[in-house]
Amino acid sequence: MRLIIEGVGKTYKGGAAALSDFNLELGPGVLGLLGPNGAGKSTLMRILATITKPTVGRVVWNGEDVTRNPNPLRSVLGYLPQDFGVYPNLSAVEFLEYLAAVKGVPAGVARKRIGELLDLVNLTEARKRPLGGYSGGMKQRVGIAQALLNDPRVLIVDEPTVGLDPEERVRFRNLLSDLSGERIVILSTHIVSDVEATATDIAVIDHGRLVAHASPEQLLQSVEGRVWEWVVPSAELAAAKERWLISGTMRRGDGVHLRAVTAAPPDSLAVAAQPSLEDAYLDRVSEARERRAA
Amino acid sequence: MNARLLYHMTRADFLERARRYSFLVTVAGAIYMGYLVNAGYVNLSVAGQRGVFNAAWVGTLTGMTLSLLLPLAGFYLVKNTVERDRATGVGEILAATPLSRAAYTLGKTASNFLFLAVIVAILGVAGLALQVTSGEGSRLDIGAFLTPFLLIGLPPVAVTAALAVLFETVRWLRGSLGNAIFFFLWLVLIPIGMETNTVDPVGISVVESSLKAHYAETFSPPPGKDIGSSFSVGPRDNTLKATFTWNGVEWTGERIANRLGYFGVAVGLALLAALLFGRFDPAREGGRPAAMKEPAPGAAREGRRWRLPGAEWSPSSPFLTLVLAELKLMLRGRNRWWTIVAAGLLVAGILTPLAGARAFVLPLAWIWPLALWSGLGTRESQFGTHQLVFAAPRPVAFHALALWTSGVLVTAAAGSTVGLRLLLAGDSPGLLLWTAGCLFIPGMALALGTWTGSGKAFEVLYLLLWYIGPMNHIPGMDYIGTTPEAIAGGRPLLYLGITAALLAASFAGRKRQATV
Repeated sequence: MRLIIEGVGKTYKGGAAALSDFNLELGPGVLGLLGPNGAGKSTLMRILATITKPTVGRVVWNGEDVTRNPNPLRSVLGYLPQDFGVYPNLSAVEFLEYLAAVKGVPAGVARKRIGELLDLVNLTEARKRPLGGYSGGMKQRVGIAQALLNDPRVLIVDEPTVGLDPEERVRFRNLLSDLSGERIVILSTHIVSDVEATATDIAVIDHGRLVAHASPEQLLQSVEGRVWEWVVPSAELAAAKERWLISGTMRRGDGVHLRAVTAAPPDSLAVAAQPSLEDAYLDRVSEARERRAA
Repeated sequence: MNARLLYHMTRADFLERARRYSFLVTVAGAIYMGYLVNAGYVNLSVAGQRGVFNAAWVGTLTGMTLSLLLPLAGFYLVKNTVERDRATGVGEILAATPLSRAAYTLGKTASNFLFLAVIVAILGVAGLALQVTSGEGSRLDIGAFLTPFLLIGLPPVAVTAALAVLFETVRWLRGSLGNAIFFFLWLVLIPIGMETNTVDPVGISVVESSLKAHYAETFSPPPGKDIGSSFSVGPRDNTLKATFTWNGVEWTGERIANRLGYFGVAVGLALLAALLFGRFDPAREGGRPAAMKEPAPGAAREGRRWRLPGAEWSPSSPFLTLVLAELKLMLRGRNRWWTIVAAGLLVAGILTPLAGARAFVLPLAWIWPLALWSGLGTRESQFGTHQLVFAAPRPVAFHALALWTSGVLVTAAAGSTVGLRLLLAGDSPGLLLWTAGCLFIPGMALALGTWTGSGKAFEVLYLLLWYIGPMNHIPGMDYIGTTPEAIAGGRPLLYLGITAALLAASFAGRKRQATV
């Protein structure tokens, strides 16, 4: 089970390049795709979901060029877009029945599976109510259910935890972890903690380019011994932000507690801190930007 | 109402519309209309004679053509401004500001009016240019040319602008039913306007009375002789000879007040819309079920982890399942009255003599599902399910074929009793055209839906075709076969050919929809 992204680039009308020379090879597991807003994450997701065609390059699923023949991937694909609509007059069951038919899931299988999935996303009680009355979080859970309808081998989820309450969010992370053994799961998000909890691999993307692809452990090792914490008076906060790559601030009675990623200790009183994925992510993005500026 | 607010609402809306490709198409259409007027495809005559093509004559002809046709097309062009605010969420932002309901509906009316008035202005400039190059008159009289634009062309445009807003604020008038109601309303207003000069937004009676008076003054016909007049848009009538020079309507105070009164009507309609406008509150607007409470988090399932149940089946794409799903989606949301009328038409198809069933029942049965057909190929863009549907296997030809098949089934079911009687009567040519109609209507809906992303183009064009063809029994356009003449001459084959072309266009449109 391999999904290969080969030299993929996407340029929109007007010349805006959303992706450039993107290469990645994926096997079973959860790939956390991290990047700032506008980095090209959603474009990549749409290309992998066969919604958008790349301007250059190709996506290969088990040896088949998806850009030429998308159906082999589509038949094993579950996709939760960042923004999606629902038919407001249909109930959750009716909407999922419709999408099951669109995905080619036989009616008998679909009926049973829809019941299980609605139970899974905690919408059994509301299953017969029109979707137009659902809250944002409930619609998101319908979106999650539809992505799992065809028992997908490739699951692509774009900002899946948006709108979910903390408890549902934790449960969804657990689900992604459970799924990862036998599937390729691609999780795009800007919430680093979601990736921290689930990803077996992480890809960092910025300005349409892949700036890192590593395991969480490798990323953490890359900033080992370079994360520092110290306290500055409030008045010095702006200057500190100018000078160092600040990954955290917290106001306390004794001043502002800062956390920064930098090779040398920023202050004589600074203490080394345990690196987090957020530190590693910010470090990679900052490094890529410096390289680009240079 | 704050003038600055009105200005900015109108400006923002106008810019949003004017920057769309469809605006250019509309402008091209308006210029072409100006050409048709100058080329003699719009005929105005009194006692079988026409006036010299001077500035007043051409200006009046163009003004009347505008007032007759622009509201009909313009209503569908502008009836989307409130919906856009609703769909984009801008409406909820506006609703959270001090903007009053009256300010909103008046602003939207002004913006609709401005959009249509720009088309009138473009036609005015184009018409002037054509008049200079091809007119029969000896001199160009700008005042005589433009006055009919202002006093005949613009008042119905103002009423249309306000009606579009009113229809958008009333839930049951927002969709296909409202589109059909406006179409018939306008058709009814034209003959009413010809008979009376009190309710005549189109302005035909004003021109007619002035022309007749001028004719009587010039030719002094015998007292009591009826001076007939006619106004038509269609083939050039070469038999009409220019025998007199008419310098336009004498705009008396009463006539001007009558025409300007329609601007007052427009304001009244906009204020009525304000009363009915729900201010984007789902609870007041209806159409969207009221928000419901979230189920208690993890109720009765405390501590349970999400586990994905495995599904055991091999991927398949059963066509019939998809057709049934599309059919279910199409029929969903029809109220009881819709079903009762559809059933009534089926019964009428059995009880009416066959000739009557074909001429009257079948046309009604094949206009009633208008809203069902108009959803074909448009639902993904209308409801934002594009990314969900097009990531599924075979979303183009396979899905388009399923959509079309569901439409064919609806059409066949709606006309089933008449079709069955044609079969029992052994009327093979009639049955063949009935079959062609079943295939053609959803083909037209799907092709227009996939290419325009909205059901409106189909609704307007189908209503026009339906009115001209089956309702007026014009053989070449009668795809239903309401008369024996309509069936003759291989017309079923013609419609089958058109259907094949429409399906090919649908597949291409669907492919375009699927590729971002």
